[in-house]
Amino acid sequence: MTKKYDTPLLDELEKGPFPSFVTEIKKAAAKNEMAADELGLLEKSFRDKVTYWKHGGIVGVRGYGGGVIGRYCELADQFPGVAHFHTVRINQPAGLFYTSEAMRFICDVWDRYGSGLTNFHGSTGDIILLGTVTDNLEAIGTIFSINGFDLGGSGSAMRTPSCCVGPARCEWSMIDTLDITYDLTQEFQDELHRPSFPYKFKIKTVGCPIDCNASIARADCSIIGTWKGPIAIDQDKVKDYVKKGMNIQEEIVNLCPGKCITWDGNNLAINDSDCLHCMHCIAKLAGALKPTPPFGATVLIGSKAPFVVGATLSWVIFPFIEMKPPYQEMKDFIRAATEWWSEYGKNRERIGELILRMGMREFLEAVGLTPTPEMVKEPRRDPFWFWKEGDLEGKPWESWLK
Amino acid sequence: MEKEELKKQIYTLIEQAQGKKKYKQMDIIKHFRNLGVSDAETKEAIRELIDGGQLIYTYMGGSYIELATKLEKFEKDIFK
Amino acid sequence: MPYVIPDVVDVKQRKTDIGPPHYKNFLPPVIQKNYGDWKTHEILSPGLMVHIANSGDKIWTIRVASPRLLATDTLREIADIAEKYCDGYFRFTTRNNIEFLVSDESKVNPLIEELKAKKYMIGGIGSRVSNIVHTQGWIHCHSAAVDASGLVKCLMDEFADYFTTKETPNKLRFAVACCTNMCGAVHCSDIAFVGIHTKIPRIDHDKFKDLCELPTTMAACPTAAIIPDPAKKSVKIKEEKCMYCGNCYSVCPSLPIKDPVNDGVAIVVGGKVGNLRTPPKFSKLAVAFLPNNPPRWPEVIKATKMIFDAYVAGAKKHERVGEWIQRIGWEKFFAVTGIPFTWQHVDDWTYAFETFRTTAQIKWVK
Ligand code: HEM
Ligand code: HEM
Ligand code: HEM
Ligand code: HEM
Ligand code: SF4
Ligand code: SF4
Ligand code: SF4
Ligand code: SF4
Repeated sequence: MTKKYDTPLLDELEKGPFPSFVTEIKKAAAKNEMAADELGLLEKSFRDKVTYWKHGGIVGVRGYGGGVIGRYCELADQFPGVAHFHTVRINQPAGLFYTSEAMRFICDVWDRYGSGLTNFHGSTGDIILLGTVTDNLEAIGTIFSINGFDLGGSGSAMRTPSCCVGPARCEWSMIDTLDITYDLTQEFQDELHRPSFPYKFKIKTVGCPIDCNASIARADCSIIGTWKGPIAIDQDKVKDYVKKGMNIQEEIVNLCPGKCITWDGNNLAINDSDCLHCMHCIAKLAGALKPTPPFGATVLIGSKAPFVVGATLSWVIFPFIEMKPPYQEMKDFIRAATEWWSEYGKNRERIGELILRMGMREFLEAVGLTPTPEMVKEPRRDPFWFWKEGDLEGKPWESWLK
Repeated sequence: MEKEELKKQIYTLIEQAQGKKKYKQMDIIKHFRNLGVSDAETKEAIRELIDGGQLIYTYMGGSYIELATKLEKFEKDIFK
Repeated sequence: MPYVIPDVVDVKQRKTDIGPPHYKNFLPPVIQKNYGDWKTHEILSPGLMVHIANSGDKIWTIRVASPRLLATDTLREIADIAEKYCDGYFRFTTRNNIEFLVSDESKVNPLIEELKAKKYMIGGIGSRVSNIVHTQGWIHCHSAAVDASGLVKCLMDEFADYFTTKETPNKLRFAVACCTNMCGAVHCSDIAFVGIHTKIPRIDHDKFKDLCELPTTMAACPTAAIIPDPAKKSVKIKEEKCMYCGNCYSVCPSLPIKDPVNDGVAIVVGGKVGNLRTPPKFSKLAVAFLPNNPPRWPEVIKATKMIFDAYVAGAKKHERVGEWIQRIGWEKFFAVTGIPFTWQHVDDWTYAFETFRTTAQIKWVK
């Protein structure tokens, strides 16, 4: 029998249609002392309206600087079961696919060495195993590794890359998001496990501009599948949508940001040279329209949460890059970018912040790229631009004025 | 610089900076770069010290490299 | 692959830098066969879709809600169900839903029946509310100003019908972050909730010397509100400069900011991440403060309903919350939702100027 707590406030959250996390904690608490104390502590937080966790960024597995999030309880005397309550991050399989057998294995490990509580998944993508003690960490790392699993990233390091479901089950995926994620994860194992960056670095890959993994908002490096060919149209299938009640003019033509679709009641036409590649028409007319090759990716850099200067979205670095194995150009770019950032970045400065501080030019030159209009919404509006030695050498205007 | 000597110097650097300054991996690399040691050599020496359990990575508002002995002291102090 | 857990663990056997297992090990055969060769998909009901490959093969996906925090017992139950109907294949979505992957059409309805009998909540596909991305809160994080799982539970209970049956004009994505770190990409969601502090950190001068480094602590403050206090060997905080971000507490534990009375919840709206139609957008402030009232957060739920109902009533088909607001204008948004516009709504942070109205184009709403 494990310890029992009165939990009137939490019990309230077992009511209602949505599955209850309280029920989950109670299930684990019935057989696990750590989970039992987690329940008691959480009730206290609900009563007092504050958190009772302490920071603890030191524990880990030998040789690695990430993958374990140390946590200690402020009220260890009252709740000894959660005095230590570290999180272990396990690198998820790309696409978040599992088999029953693999899942039972994870459960077996966590019943034996942890609280029996998990998150599927953390917001970075890792499998999150909640609640264990320092003394169990080496064993946990060993058992996962001999069964083919490794820890995920944390700290000032490459974080576990993640992706959308992509070609595994989505007709719109223009790049192999799972393979890219697997391949980049393997390529950057050292950077993932041994923090050597100024701060975290996240890579998220999605198959098309719909961006089901929110890569543009929460990855330092967002890889978004896109296309350059025309949009192929199956007119009969378009008419099927009309028969089912779709108002093509209102729902498709008027909402196209490129203003490049026309519909005469019979025939849908797209002026592909004005298409912005937003995916709206393709997603709404699933099966009737489809993008055609060349396929590749738009690569953006820089998004992060609000600290310190304010939130940013990623901005375009490669308008279009081929994404074929072994993804050498992408790997070279990530290496060049993170090396530049490691050299000049201050502690806790994200790569996007460094680019804003030093200027896009410094960054682009460091990674060997030249500017193009696709990188900006509009050219600068202030008149305060800088010149570098050599910019006007060779009278550059002569070549384009010819 | 010979590897064992480099390892000793890295350890001493961190030991003497305890409580005053915290080193990130890149800070150590830059320190020895100024003494003429290549980045790759320093990186390898750090890795050996960490794999050997003398140094560890810590995470406090950014990842640093510190003495392994810090963990025990830390876990003792945290419940005070 | 058989998995083994030795009775006695020899840590010397640990292999490093092997990375995750290859995803192919976990893909159902029909996916392996049709990988990257899908033709189209159809949403058959709010919790059921079928993907059709160019080869003609099909795979059915049944989506159910999950609280993200799962006990091993529940995971084993899911594994058992998947074994019975899906040859053991299932997956999770990035929004924490569980998806059962069925290759045999005759097993679709029996699976749905069993899920219903076991009280799983089926839905979330198409133009409706999906599961809520959220952070750790009081379950596990030191910096939480509000709980996350609790708030998510209350919101999903309230809007359950919009997960299982009813439609919204377009997808509606909620998110919860328990502090301004916003682990969950809250800054780009349709309607999101952020835990906030409203009072400056307290300073524990005695502990400062032992626990914190002066330069790191000062540097952590985005507004340079922290200055040295040499007499006390500690720091001072300039009250007028501090914006309660809690950044300093993350770097220095002797500057606690958590506060049972003055911590609360803000609601931000109109963000999106997809590129469909309009570019991705940040969420913007709708409600600056609501009290932190566990276990049911009634004030937060009520305010959310005001925004939600106005969106459902006013948006055109396919408009996300942000696109709806863009069309009607912010002055109308505040008018139709009945939310008051306050001092806190006017930006005074880094990008403030970009938010001021530099035109005489205005809609008269009253
Ligand atoms: C005492 C034990 C501590 C533990 C276990 C701990 C653990 C953590 C963890 C797990 C994170 C999230 C990491 C991630 O983003 O994946 C974090 C974030 C953070 N920690 Fe700690 N920490 C501890 C102490 C401290 C201390 C003493 C400081 C400051 C001196 C600090 C500063 C921060 C900061 C600023 C963050 C913000 C997030 C980030 O940098 O990513 N932590 N900490
Ligand atoms: C500067 C911004 C951020 C800071 C300071 C920060 C800090 C933290 C801290 C302190 C934790 C520890 C929570 C715990 O106790 O487990 C944490 C967890 C986590 N953070 Fe962040 N975080 C930031 C941004 C992000 C973003 C943008 C993401 C996602 C893309 C993210 C993903 C995660 C994940 C996956 C966890 C593990 C627990 C969870 O899933 O909730 N973080 N973060
Ligand atoms: C892209 C660079 C710039 C362009 C194209 C530009 C253009 C102009 C034009 C067309 C006018 C109106 C003149 C008239 O019709 O009377 C003007 C006025 C003015 N400009 Fe600029 N300008 C630029 C940069 C600057 C800079 C760098 C400054 C100051 C540092 C400046 C200061 C002024 C002032 C003070 C006036 C109004 C006062 C006056 O005309 O005496 N401008 N500018
Ligand atoms: C397996 C999981 C998922 C599947 C199968 C999926 C599927 C889809 C589909 C088919 C669309 C296009 C629908 C349409 O516009 O008609 C879509 C759009 C979208 N999804 Fe997902 N999605 C998944 C998970 C997610 C997650 C986890 C997120 C966010 C964290 C997300 C965010 C979005 C967004 C932002 C859009 C764009 C909607 C818009 O802007 O109109 N999706 N998703
Ligand atoms: S991002 Fe695009 S390719 Fe990936 S799952 Fe979403 S719709 Fe499909
Ligand atoms: S993808 Fe977007 S921009 Fe291109 S034609 Fe379709 S709706 Fe218009
Ligand atoms: S949002 Fe804040 S409180 Fe919540 S898990 Fe992330 S860091 Fe912790
Ligand atoms: S809460 Fe934020 S603004 Fe206030 S002193 Fe701390 S770091 Fe500075």
